[in-house]
Amino acid sequence: MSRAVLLLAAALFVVLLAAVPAALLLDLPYLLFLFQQLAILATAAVGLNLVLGYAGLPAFGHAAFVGIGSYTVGILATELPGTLFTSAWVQLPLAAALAGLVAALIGAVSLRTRGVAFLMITLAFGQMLYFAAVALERYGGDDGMILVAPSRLGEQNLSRGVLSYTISVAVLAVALYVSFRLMRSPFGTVLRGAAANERRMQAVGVAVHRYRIGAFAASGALCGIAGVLLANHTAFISPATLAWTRSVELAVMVLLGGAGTLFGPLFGAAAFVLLEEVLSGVTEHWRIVFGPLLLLVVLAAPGGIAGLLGRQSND
Amino acid sequence: MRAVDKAAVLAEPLLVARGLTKRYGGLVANAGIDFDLRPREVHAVIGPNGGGKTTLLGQLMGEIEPDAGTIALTGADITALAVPERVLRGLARSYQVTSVFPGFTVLENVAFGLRARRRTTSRFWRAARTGGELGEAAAAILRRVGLSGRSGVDAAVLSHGEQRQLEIAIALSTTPKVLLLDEPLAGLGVDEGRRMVDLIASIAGPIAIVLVEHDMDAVFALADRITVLVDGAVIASGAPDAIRADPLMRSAYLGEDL
Repeated sequence: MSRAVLLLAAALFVVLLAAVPAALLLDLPYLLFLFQQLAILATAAVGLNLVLGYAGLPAFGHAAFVGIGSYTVGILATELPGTLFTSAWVQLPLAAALAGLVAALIGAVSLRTRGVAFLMITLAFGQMLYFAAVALERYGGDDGMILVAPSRLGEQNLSRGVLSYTISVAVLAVALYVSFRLMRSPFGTVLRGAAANERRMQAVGVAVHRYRIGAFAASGALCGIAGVLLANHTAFISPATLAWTRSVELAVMVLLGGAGTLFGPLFGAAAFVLLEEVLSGVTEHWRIVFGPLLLLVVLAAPGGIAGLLGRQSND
Repeated sequence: MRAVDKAAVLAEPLLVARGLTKRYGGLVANAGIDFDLRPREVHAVIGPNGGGKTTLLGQLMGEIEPDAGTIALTGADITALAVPERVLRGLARSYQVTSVFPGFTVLENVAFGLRARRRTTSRFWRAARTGGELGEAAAAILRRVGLSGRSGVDAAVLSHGEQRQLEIAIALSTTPKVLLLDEPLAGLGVDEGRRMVDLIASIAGPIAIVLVEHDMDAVFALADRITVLVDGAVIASGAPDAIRADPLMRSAYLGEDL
């Protein structure tokens, strides 16, 4: 990993942490709101990067796993308020397990295909879960639902404020650490090696399929955790969280930042959220500017931001 | 030619294929091929392009599903087994078009097979190390194929000749009983080709080898037995001298090369 990549990652974390006193002193609650959104989306992007980046599989339905996390919080808050099930200590592992399990199942089916077919089938599964969420009349159907009971954490909760913010940043740090450990382990080197040459990986005795399902599970679990935080952050849960456009946005973050690099998803999420913020302040048609801008970056720097900063192979 | 001791020749074959058939639409790539490989043997498969040699290797390895026929390795039916399972039972191959892991060092290229054999590839938390016993095993393989000085180099930047050596090293990393070599001399110069023949001769014996090769000098230098495939069928099979003398063979195939 190049020094510039490490420096930028460190700088981003310093900014994320310095935002707390800055927001309190200057009375800028919106700053924390924006940066928390950044941290949560970056966590989901770190999850997607395991599959899309390191394993080299064009998965375009990951918003569904974020949605599973969000709906876990919303449904438990509606059905079992005031019980153990609205505790963050229960919801986070439960959402991670559910999203990881669904991701593993979807992965197991999707991985029977390759290339464009794989892309389409992951997209289709994402859409299936989107329409499943729309069909949940009891939980607001198309309109979604307001989160009536935020995830409890001791005496406090994850809804808003400094604690919620700090936890989102801490979860991002943990997600990055998990990604770091996974991808330098034998499991991770198999995933990366299979992306480089799948046939050869089979021919040295590694059943690649299983490892990729494992990557899907880990990836889905991280997205599910991001979903729990997102539901608390916006205090609102709707099928829009699972929309295919959200999946594409996550993929754009990964590609923009540098697919298959440790900090790429963080860089991509930061660039995405901040650009969106700046451009949407200038014009409501900000996407007209944003789209071509992304295109330029991808064409000019196939390795994304991390690539521009000088990346060694496989880091 | 290496001498094959009589006991080994009389022993049960390691690899047995019966009636292997593969069709692609109207084209019959393999038409009921019977093939076997005895312990310690180098069994060469020759024939013109399109004769079905690579299809045969693909079916033996499990990469191509046969339309009919059976394959047994050390007495057990492996016809239904997937590639990785066959590898863990002692089958390995090299590819005609170089197939290594670009973006990984030469050492890491060899480490994949070593870890698969030790069943440590599913460890997901501790860092993948290339030192210790695994590193020594990797270094020994790289010494065997003549890549000792290149272990830290990205496989993508090796010369073609070195990549062909690495191709063999990756196959050896799985500690195979049976090695399928698909044109190991492809694209090599005269000197490199000679070194490759020496390398194959040095690993033959403990590892039985199926050798698909167009270079007839290499085939006659290495093979204990030769099978000739034309249009997906075996037209001759036997000792090199018999094949060389076979008039059908001379006209059908060797005439082009000799």
